[in-house]
Amino acid sequence: MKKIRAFIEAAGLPRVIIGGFLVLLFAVAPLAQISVARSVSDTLVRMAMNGVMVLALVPMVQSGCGLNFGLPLGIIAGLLGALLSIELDITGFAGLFFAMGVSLPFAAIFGYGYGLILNKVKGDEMMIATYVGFSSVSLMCIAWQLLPFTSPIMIWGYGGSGLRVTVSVSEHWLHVLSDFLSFQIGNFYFPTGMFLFLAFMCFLVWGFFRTKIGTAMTAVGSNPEFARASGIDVDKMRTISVVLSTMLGAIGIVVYQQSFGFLQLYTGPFYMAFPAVAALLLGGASVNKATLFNVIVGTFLYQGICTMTPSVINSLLQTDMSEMIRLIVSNGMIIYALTRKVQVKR
Amino acid sequence: MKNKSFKDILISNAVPIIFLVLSAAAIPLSGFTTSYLIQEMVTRMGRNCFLVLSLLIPIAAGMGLNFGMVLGAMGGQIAIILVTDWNIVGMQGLLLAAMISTPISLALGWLTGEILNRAKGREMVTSFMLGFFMNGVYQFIVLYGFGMVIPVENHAMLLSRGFGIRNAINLQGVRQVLDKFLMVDIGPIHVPMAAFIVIALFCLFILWFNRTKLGQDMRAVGQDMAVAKSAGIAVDRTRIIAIIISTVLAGYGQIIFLQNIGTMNTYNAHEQAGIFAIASLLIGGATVSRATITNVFVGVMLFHLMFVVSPMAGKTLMGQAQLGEYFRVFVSYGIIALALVLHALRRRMDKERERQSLRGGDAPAPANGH
Amino acid sequence: MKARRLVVRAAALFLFVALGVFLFVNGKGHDILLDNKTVTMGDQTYEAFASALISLDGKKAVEIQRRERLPEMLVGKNHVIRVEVMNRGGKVIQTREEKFSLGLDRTWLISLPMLISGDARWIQVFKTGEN
Repeated sequence: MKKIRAFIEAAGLPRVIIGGFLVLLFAVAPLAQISVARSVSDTLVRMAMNGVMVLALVPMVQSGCGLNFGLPLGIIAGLLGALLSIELDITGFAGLFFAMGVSLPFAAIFGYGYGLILNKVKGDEMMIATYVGFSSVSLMCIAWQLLPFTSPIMIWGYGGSGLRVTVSVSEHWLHVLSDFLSFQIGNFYFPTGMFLFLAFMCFLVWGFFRTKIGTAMTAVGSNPEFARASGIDVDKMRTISVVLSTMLGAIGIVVYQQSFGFLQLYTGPFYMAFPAVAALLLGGASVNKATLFNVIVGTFLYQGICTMTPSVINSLLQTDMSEMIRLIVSNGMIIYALTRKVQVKR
Repeated sequence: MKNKSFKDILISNAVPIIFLVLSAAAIPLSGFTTSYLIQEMVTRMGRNCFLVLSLLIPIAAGMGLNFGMVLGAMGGQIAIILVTDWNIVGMQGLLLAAMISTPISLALGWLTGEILNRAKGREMVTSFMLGFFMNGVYQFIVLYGFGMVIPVENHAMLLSRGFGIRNAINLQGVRQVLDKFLMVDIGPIHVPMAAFIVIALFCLFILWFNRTKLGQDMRAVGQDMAVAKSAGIAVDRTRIIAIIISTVLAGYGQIIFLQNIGTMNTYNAHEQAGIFAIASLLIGGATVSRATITNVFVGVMLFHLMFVVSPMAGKTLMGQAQLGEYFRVFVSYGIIALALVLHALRRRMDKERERQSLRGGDAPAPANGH
Repeated sequence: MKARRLVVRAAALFLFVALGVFLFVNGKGHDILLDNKTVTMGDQTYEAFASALISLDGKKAVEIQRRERLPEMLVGKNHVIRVEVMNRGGKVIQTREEKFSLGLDRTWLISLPMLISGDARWIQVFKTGEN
């Protein structure tokens, strides 16, 4: 009993509950005539697909700016990059990396402005971030209608004007990263390229936090007064973290899109921050401390739940409860984190 | 503070003034007639003011904008689903809906209050997330509970599979019963007097409540929790009561809203209620820490003026009504973002001024209403 | 003092529930089907009549022809129905007024021939799927 309690204490109650639930789902899957290999594979694909976006939250948490509910800003930058690469008709890896490369300056500009705002509102970052995200998404709804793109893939063919709601990437760089060095064993498909890329991004972030700027950023997050006393420019560090977060968000959405197959414009990016935030928190991060370990574990658990509940519950109960379960799990997780001042769990 | 200069007034009312100017520019573009616009405004005031008023009390208690009001709206919707199913019609149906919503909202409000007491300093983001969370629970109840656990007599309300409520339900039994109860015609304008009387009563309630011991306590808590606590006020309890009152009233507000509309979007009416109410209040010049009844009326009017006018104005200006619709969505979110930023800035400035005056040594003790 | 508070609260709760029940019974909307068809109940046959004027709760009368079935809506529990049977010439030949109260069921069928003949089974709960 004591050991169990110590284990729960060490892993954090939500992680234990969700982890247990996930194990249960995998155990029940064969009964529901679902291939476990396929399920594991789907979970891994979605994990790699979303991983970079979850990773994007880390810099801001570390610098004390809280959970980046303003992630849609980075997503918009990524969408702009992706649209430009399709407009210029660049295919394959070139198109993918062009999309990422072009999105970065946009993300840097957006992130800089966003960082300036957040520096003025210390203590209220999360609420304001949410609404900065919402209002920029709705502003971009107007922009998507007006921007002068011409590629027939992405504008309405008949009478209408502006960009389509979803734009296919299948003719340009669908799955280029996913299929790189990927392999298939029976039902099991492993998107090696995406995992390599996720590992590479994690490595970059890991490396960054070991540089002088990185350590200064962590210092700002853990104790701003102390950081200021030791001569660190607090506002500058916070701005850098926001820019970094937004840029990672832009790269993250491009990775997501090449796997998903479509760009989702208009209201698509509205709620994209919440699953990422929930995943990070599920991984054991708190509002002011997050590690790469949290990112990996959290993304796996969250995407596992999101993959397994629809298939298992649908085939057992013959109804689709996945949307509700996702709402309850992800938002419940965020509320749990907001109402607690816990230390980060390894 | 009494002798405000013209400039001060301009600055402190910047948001409503910007809106007035925007709408004034958009009205001629929209091509609507004056009497049409007045009628729309009167109808929309009667429909929405009650919902927006329900936000006032938590602001006084220093808990910011109660994004948790959507929980109350959910309670109101569940009550209205039940009443429609039982076919309780007319004023009786409306009153019964209000009565059924009361215990549901009480429970939800208590839950919100308990959670927000554990998240002091981030009440808004927490209540906001709580709205999303409860949306999942609400969907579960309405999509599975109705017809499976809660008996539904009227099968026309159910999805074809035999349980779960349809996406849109017709509220014919209670449609506009409050509005038509006392419809007064002033010139060509129909005024739903009964709705306005209910709203007036609510305003009186708020004015009276501010004078009670509990109301005073609430303001003390809103100013400074530590001071209030040392003055012997049960801070947590007071905060929970503030949220409960707000949630229950939001439930009534949603019922009034729905009887006017006459149909209900089962799965997103409550979300819209929250965002529109909060945007209206802020457009009326309220801040996160200060909101008056005047802000409510001015805000509802300006917000809905923009709401009515912008699609048509967009059509005239750009040839697309869709753009106007996107614009109003952008404005609702943008205004909330702007108001939150302004509030945070002001708070920071106050804090700095306080620090400066402390250094100066002649710090006047801030009045705490006690 | 504590006991008094409890009593007050219990009374308030009771009043709340009582008001709810009152509203429920009083506001319940019922669909009424007025039926002028020939009915056979056991060995008794009730002939439909040519036409009649029906007034519910003193409201304006509606006219019903032979073999017609008219839907009406009533709110609340207790009601009065007044039937004036007319001959082919349109002259009232028979009048009958009856009080009735509705239970909690939604739809009720009133058989006018049975009502006129004084058969107590003239009002019945109408179940969908029957006729």
